[in-house]
Amino acid sequence: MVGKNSVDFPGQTGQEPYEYRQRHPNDYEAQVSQGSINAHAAENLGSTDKGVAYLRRKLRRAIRAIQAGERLPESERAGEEFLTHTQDTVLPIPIHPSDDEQLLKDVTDAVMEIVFEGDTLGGDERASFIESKLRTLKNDTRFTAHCGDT
Amino acid sequence: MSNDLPQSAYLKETRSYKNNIQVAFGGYHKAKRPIEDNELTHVGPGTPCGEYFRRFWIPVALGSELSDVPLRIRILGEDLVVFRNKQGTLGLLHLHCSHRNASLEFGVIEEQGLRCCYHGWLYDVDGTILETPAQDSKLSEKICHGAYPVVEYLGLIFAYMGPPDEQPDFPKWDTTMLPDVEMVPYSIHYPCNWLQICENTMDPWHTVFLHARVTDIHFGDTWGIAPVTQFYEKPHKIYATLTYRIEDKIWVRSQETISPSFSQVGAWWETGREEKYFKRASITKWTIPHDNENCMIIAWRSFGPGVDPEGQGD
Ligand code: FES
Repeated sequence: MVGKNSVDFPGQTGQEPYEYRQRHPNDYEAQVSQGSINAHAAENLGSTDKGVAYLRRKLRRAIRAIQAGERLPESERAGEEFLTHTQDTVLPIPIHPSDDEQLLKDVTDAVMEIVFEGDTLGGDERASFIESKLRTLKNDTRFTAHCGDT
Repeated sequence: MSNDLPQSAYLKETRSYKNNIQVAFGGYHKAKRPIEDNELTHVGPGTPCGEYFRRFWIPVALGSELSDVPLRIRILGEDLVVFRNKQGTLGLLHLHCSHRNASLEFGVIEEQGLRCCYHGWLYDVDGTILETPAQDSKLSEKICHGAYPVVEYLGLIFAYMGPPDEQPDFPKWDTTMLPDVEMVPYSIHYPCNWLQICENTMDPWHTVFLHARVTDIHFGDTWGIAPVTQFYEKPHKIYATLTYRIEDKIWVRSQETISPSFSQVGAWWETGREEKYFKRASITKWTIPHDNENCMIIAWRSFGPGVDPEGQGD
């Protein structure tokens, strides 16, 4: 069921019995329990919280720009479309023997570069442009040099 | 509890809270919870963050919530009433009648507008006063009731609550126009401030712990693998990436937060085991404040072969 106060994946509405929520906490329990207004001063953000710090910094800058009388820039569009970039890509690229973490970072940069490169196009054209470029990454020597000849 | 202190008070209190004596069994030194950051969390009329929200089209209700009586809602600390007149046009008006403040949630929906129950004033969807029965003065020509423009799109009702001369074009998000995808609207109420709900998309490590390692596996079993996380930026947009090594595959998941509180996330059933390219969001959502201490996620869940060819999320 998807509708008013209801969605088809667990842990979003806090409607289960209290004891169940204590034993099986999910998004609702974690986020609502931060407090009626989360007190940032009592938090201790670390290396895993970069995104949160980043979001707050960006939000504060945007809020202050409006306070200073600035107007918002128009968003990127392809024709009538407002472009977004949330996606999943799964590439068959074997593990790097010495620095797989660096490989994962480099592949991510390459994926995002292609995803952003599609911004000049819209609709099906954009999707097939991005998809076909992403497909080339599994044979890209930048990421497969460690695999030897295949 | 919500406070009205200036930003300087928050900064001062933050400093003193951080400087508290850090000692084991030292709860005494931290017994008082510090105040919140008003600049980022308060959303009422005239507040900095409230002004920011009032520059965008934001969803305020599900189309399916409307009926033959008005719907009372609270958005950005304003009490409002939303209704569809008998011609099918949507209206979003301030809750309290411009005559003597009776609530328009008890009004009667008519052909062209909404009639207050108390003395029968009739409002058009744009706030124009159409009738002030039995009044001998021309009050109605001097006043316009508070109203906001509304658009209904794919079952969500969007409003623009900002300065009229800064109203942007209504955006049509790419993911709402994908082939073979059905967007199903939903909303969820949260009894807390909007920001902590919105931040979740930019907290990639919670998926590892909350959703896989600490208690149960809520979604895919691969979510407990430590990802490599990175962030990318454009004006008014932040992208978080979570990249997982899953045997001989690399799964690159990107998710975004766009001003003011729009975000999208990938499929909750994804495990990253099968080769795939540019599979789009399964959730397109906003976190919309009702007031400082209440908010909702109001969203579309995407169904259909366009996002879910194997029907794993059905
Ligand atoms: S209070 Fe609404 S018509 Fe008098």
